[in-house]
Amino acid sequence: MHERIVITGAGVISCLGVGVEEFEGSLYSGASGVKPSELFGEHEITAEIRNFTPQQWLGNKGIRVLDRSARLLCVAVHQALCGSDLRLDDSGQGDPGLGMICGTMFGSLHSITSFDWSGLVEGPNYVNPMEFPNTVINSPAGQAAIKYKLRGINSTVCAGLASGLYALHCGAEFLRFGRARILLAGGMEELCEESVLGFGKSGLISPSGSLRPFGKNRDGTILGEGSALLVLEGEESAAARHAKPWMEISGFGCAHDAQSVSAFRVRAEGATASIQEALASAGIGPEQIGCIVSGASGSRTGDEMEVRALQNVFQDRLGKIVICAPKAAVGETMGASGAICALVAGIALRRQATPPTAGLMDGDTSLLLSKDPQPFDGEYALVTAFGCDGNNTSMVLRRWMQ
Amino acid sequence: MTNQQVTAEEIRNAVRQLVAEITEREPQEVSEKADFIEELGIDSLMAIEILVAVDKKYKIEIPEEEFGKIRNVYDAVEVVQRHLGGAAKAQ
Repeated sequence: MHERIVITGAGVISCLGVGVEEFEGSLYSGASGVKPSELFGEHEITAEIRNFTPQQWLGNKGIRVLDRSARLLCVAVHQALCGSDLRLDDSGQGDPGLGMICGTMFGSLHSITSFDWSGLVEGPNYVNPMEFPNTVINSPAGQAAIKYKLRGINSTVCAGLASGLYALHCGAEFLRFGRARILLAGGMEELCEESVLGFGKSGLISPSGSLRPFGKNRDGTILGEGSALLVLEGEESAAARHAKPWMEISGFGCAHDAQSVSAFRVRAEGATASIQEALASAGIGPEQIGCIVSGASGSRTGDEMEVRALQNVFQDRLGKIVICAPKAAVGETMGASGAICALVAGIALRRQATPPTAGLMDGDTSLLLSKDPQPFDGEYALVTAFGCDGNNTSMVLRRWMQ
Repeated sequence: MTNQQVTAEEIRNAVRQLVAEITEREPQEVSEKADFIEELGIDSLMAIEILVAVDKKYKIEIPEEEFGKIRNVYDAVEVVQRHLGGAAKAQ
């Protein structure tokens, strides 16, 4: 029998707010952060974090060396520690049992390109040595560990849009192996001109500037940014420090079915297999799923693949299970998206209601979508994160019960 | 602006501004004689950052060994001036 891995806290920053309370309030009010960009000009539509001033949480000292990715992650760490009675005092030596597993798609993409840019334009003698450490993909996780004295495992998981769920799964496994006592696990992704350019040139961004997951007239996604971390620990660790579990990670499934680097597999073999594996590892059948938090992002083929996978697993019952697609409100946050959806699932299980799918207009009628919160009665939530690179992941979360 | 026109005062202000930025202080907190390592907490990577920024600003190339001997803003101004003089003569 596996040890039960519970979630005792969370930290989040996104265009919907900072901290679980603010995020939850905005999400359930039906708000959306998808708006004309302040970072790249009004012609771009993004779900960016506006007026991002991390100093209010991170202080003024030591912030100069942190790039946007590291700042986002550090704010999420700060929120997670504060909300879990784990905050260390500045004189502390750090906790060797406390670590981090961070999922990300690109990491500090802007730091990487600006380092190259300065070398090419100004000459190799003029590159800034302080920028070099930020050009490795695990730099944000490293910077966060330095700042918050996380002395345990520190690992960065790169698996495209599935990174966030992979990171949660890896965290749960490390805990089961006894390699850590408490892990902050989840994902982070910054919005930068390079990712906007790359997604735009690849034809993945919605030309109409709207993000309509499962919408009949959907025409692409809108990029967002942020970070979500869940505080993971074994049931015994939580009990020993009198931390109240919120939910538990019951099951996880992954399957890779790439046929191309940029096209979804619309027959959905991998996506279907990942859901089935997640259910099997949770030891439940599809009829026990109370709600679905989908990673659908408004992609024509991606959302079609997801509907097919859900139909394959849930069959006739699919139209009776409440489902929501948080990316309508927070944008496509890439490596952070799986963790943000897992957080949403946790909130939905606690409230026994899924949040609205923001601005829903022409949703797929075979799915129980709504632009309002939808109540349900259930113990388990399914979270999906499928990428166009063939990385398909699903996770089953369970409302905490003794 | 030609190199000859850069005054010691201008260099001093620029270096102080730079050191302040890198050590996350206000420029007035960086005195001319404050020791880079002991008083301002500048480590080897930060020192190279200052070197690169100064080189870039004045289009000079101060060798790392020479820069390593600099202990404070006063020394830095002197080294920059020397190299600017050299560059001016070479023109």
